Amino acid sequence: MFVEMFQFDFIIRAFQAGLLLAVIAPIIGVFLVVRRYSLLADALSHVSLMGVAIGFLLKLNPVLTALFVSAAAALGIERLRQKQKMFGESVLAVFLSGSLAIAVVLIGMAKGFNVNLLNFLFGSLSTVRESDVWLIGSLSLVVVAFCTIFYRQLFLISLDEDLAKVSGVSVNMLNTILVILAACTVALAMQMVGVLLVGALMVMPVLAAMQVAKSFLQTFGFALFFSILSVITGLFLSYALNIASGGAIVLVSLCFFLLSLLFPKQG
Amino acid sequence: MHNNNCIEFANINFSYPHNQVLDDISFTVQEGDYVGLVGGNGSGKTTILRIMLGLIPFASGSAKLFGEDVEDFDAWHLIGYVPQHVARGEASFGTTVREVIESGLVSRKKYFLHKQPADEKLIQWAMNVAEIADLEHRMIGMLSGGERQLVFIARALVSRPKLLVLDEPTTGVDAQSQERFYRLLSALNQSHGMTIMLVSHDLEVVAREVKTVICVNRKLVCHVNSREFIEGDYLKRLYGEDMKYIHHEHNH
Repeated sequence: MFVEMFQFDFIIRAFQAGLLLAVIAPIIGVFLVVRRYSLLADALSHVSLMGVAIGFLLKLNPVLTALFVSAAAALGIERLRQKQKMFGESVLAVFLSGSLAIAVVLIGMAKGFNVNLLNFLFGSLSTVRESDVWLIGSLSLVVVAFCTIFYRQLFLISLDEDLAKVSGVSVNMLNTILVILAACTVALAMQMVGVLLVGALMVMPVLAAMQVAKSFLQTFGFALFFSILSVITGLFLSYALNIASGGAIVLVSLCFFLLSLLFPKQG
Repeated sequence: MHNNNCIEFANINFSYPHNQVLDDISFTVQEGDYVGLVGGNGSGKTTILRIMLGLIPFASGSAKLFGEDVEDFDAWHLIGYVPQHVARGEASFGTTVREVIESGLVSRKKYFLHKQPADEKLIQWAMNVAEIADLEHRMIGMLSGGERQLVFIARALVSRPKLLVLDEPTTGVDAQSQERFYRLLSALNQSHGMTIMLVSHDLEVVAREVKTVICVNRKLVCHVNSREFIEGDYLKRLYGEDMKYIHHEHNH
């Protein structure tokens, strides 16, 4: 059965997109989790839903509108956080609930796209198009290049922003690029994993990795391992049991997290 | 024009709405000095430190590092900074002593993970000077407060700075670790010629360890050598008439 499923083009596309996302989601996720900024992914996924609703309403490509809207929201969130007018988590709460409210109103205004919307809410194997794979591939290149070149700088910002500034790091610029890349990742992962679960893809493998890793670099290695294995197993389960891909992927990563708790952390 | 000044503050003013924190502060710190920046709570010493490191803008005056305006300064490898607390130094961050020390290479504009042999030599030198080579692969969150401060000194040293700035570095550190810590600072100042600025509220330490004292209380109270600071009436001016300095030997 597992061989025959690859006769279908949409399955091949889902695996291509899924594996690319499995690489970039935890790379961005590590830098969010260690800064206690995990909720950013959830807030951006709700903003992306608003982008999808705008796309459906204006009859534009919903993935592209989600991409632009969530990147713009990421800029707004980071700007407010940098100005320190509000706590970081409060900023996220405003964007999360505000964008969901707008999305609900827009969905109510434009009746008739409920079936497609369900795919975005819970994730679906069949919605990934070839152009989406190319988009996700391009984003993956940018994310991997950015995080590799600026690894030390991003590490130091995560440890302490003041230390990073006194080391000559352009903290605000790198933070802004990171949240925009997070927004793009969330918007593009949404089709496969679903709005409601995309945050988990970024966070769950990282949390599992942090339980077993013995260094920051090892955290990346384990997070990638858990993430890739979760996506492959989740997609197989989704096809075999005819269940939503997002739920299947996140449930597998939840299992990895629970297993990781059995390992006592040592120093 | 070259001079030997590491830090130059001229007529610096800083205020929050309805609260002037610094009023016309001026001082210079010369290369090779070991300076204690002291003052009570709310006296403005942390604000001075943050202005000096370019972390906050100031209203008026001029702040220079190695002869260059702080706003334009970019030779950050010349500055080693040890903060009072690191924002995310807890166990859950999951990083090793070595990774923290390697992050000091950032100020030498190092990108990627790749290290040159010279970088590796600097890392080993910094760990040996701070006497923490045995902690290299330990997780930072699992160390004692004293060990952790030595790690952050090593991190600051890895860029071979000329000026080491420490903000209340021994808060929460036991007496034995404090002695080891100050022994290291003295060696860095005397043997390596490193200029040190130590921000502290601990007058005992300041009197015993540093060469020069800058005392602030919104304004500059004094900028004198440590003996003169203890013998003068500056403590009374800072803390009131009942203030006495009692020296206590640390032989335990």
